[in-house]
Amino acid sequence: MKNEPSLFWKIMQSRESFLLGLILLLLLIMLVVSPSFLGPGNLMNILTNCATVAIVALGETIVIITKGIDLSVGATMGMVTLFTGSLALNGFPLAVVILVAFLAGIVAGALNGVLISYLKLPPIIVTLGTLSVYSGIMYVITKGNWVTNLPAGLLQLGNFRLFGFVPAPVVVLVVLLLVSTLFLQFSIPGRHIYAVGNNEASARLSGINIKRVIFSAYLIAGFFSAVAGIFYVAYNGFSTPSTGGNMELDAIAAAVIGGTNVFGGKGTPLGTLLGAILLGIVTGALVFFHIPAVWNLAVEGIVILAAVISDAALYRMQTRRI
Amino acid sequence: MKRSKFFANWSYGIIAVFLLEMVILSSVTPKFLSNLLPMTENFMPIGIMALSMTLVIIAGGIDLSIGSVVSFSGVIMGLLWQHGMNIWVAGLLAVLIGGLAGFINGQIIVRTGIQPLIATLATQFIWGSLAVVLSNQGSIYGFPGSFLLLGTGFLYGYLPVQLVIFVVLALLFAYLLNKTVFGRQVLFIGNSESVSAYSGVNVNRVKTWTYVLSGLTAGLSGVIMGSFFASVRGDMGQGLELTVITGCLVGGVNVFGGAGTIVGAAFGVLLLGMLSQGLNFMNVSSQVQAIITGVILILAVAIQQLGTIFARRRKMTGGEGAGKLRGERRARVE
Repeated sequence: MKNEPSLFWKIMQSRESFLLGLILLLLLIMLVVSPSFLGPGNLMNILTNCATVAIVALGETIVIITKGIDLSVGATMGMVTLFTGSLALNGFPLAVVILVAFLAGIVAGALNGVLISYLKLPPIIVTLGTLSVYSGIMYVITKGNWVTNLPAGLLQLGNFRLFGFVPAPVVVLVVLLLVSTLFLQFSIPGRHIYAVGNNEASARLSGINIKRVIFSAYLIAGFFSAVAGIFYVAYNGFSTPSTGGNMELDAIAAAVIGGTNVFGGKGTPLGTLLGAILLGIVTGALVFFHIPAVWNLAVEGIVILAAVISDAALYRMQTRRI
Repeated sequence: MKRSKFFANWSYGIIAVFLLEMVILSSVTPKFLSNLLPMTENFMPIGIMALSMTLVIIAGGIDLSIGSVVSFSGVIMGLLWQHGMNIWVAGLLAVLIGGLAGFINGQIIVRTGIQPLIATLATQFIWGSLAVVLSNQGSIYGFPGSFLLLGTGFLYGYLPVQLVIFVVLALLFAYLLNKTVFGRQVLFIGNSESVSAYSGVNVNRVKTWTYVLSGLTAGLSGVIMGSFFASVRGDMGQGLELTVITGCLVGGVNVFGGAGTIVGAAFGVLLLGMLSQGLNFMNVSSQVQAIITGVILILAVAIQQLGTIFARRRKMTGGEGAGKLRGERRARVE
C-alpha cells in the first residue's frame, strides 16, 4: 500500500467496529420493533447469559491465534463446575474449593498442551480425545447427579454485584478481557503467540520457543475455562453433568465471528467478546419473539457462515488490491 | 514414501489388535462370541460413514456435519412416509437429500475457501436444528415391518443385513480409492493440493465429490438407523461424527490428509465398536467408555506420530513430515 491509512480509518475498518455497528443496528431494530426489549434488565440478562461463553471463548481465541483449536474447553468448564460444586457440598473451605477448581482447569489445559506442543500431535484430535475424557470424568465425579443446594460462601461469590447491578460473571469477563488484551498486545509472550500463529518457521528462526508458546496457549485456555466454570456454578447455584456440552462450538463460533482466523495469527479478545455478544443478542431476540429454542442452532450456524464467508471475501478483495 | 508405507502397515497392525481384542473379550465374557454378529448392528452406520469420511480426511478435509445429516435425512424420510409416500421411495429420497447436504458443504468449502472444520460446524448446526424443528421435537414411528428388516434382518438366518451392506460398501470404497482415477486424485490432493492443481486435477470437483459421498452415506445411515430403532428423531445422529472420526483415525487415516486406507478405517470402527459392546457386557457405564475411547484416540495418534518420527530418523531425510504438510497448507491460504 502506498500511503498508510490514518489510525481513524484503521479503527473504522476493523472487524471490531463492524461488529459493534452490527450490534447497534440490531439493538436499534429491536428498539423499533419492541421497546421493552431494550430495558436495562433484559440487556444485562443477555450480557450475563453470554458471559460464560465469552470467558471460555477468550481462552479459545488465544489457542486459535496459535493456529490450534481446543475442543475440550466446554468439557473442562463443565468439569470445573462439578469439582467446585461437589467439593463445596462436602464442606471444604471456599479457598480450597477454588484452588482445586483452578488446578483442575490448569491440569486439563496442561495435558492438552503437553500432547500438542511437546508430542506434536494434531490439536483437533488431542482435544477431541480429551473432550470425551473430561466429559466422562464429569459423570464419574457426581455419578450423573446434579450439584445443587450449594453452601452460602460459594453463592455469595456469585451473587456479588458491582455498583449494585453488574453481576459477578460480567465483572470477571471485563477484567479478563482487559488482562488478555494487555497480554496479547503489549507483553512479549503475547506477541510471541501472534508470531507463532502467523509463521511458525520464522518464529522459530527468530529464537522463539515454539513449544513453550503453544503449551502456554492451551494452559491459558484451561485457566479461562476454570474461571468460567467457577463463576457459572457460583452464579447459577447449580450444575449438571451436561453443563458445558457443546460450549466449545459456541466458543469457536464467537471467536470466528469476532474475526479470529482459524489459520492462525489473527484475532483479538475484544472481537471475540463482540462475537459472543452478537450471538447472545440474536438468540435473546429469538427468545423474545417466542421463536422455539430449537431454531437457535440454525441461526447460529447461519451467522457463523455469514461471518466466515464475508471474511474470506473481504480478504480476497484486499489481497487483490495489493 | 516411508510415511505412506508406515500408514499402510498401520492397517495390518489394527487388524492384529482387533483379533487380539476379540480373543480377550470372548475369554472374559463367554456370551460375547455367541452374540458376535448381531452385536455389529449397533454400530454399522458408524462404519458406513467412516468409509466416506476416510476419503474426506485423505483429501485434507473433515466433515463435522454428518451426525446432523443423519438426523435430517432420517426425519425427512419419516415425514415423507407420514404423508403417504412409500417408505422405500422415501428412504431413497432421504439418501439423496444427504447427498445434497454434502454437495452444499463441498461447494461452500471450495468456492469460499473457508476451513472445512468451520464450514461443516456451521452446517452441522443448521441441519441438526432443522431436523429437530421438522420433527416437532418428537419421534416418528410405525414404519412397515418389511422396512424394519433393513436394520434388524438377517440373511440366511445369521448374517445381519447391516453388516452385509457395510461389507459391500467397504469393498466398493476400497475399489474407489485404490483402483479408480477419482480415488488416486483424492490421495494426490491430500498429499499436495497445489501440485495436483498444476497437474490438471480438478481439485474443486474431486473435493466436492468427497463431501457428496460423505452426505450420501450419512443419509443412508439415517435410513438404516430409522429402520433399526423403528423410529426417527431429530437428534438421533447427534455426536456420531466424533465416533466416526475417531474410528478413522484409530484406523490409521492421517488427519493431515494424504494417507489412509479403507481397510484400516473399517477395522478401526470394528475395533472401537466391539470394544464398546464388550464393555457393555461387563456393565461398564457409557461415560467410562467415553474416557476409554478418548484415551485410545490420543494413543493411536501418538503412536502414529512416534512411528513417523522414527521412520524419518531412519531415513535421515531431514523433512518435516506432518509439520511440512501443515506449513504447505498455510502457504496455500496466504
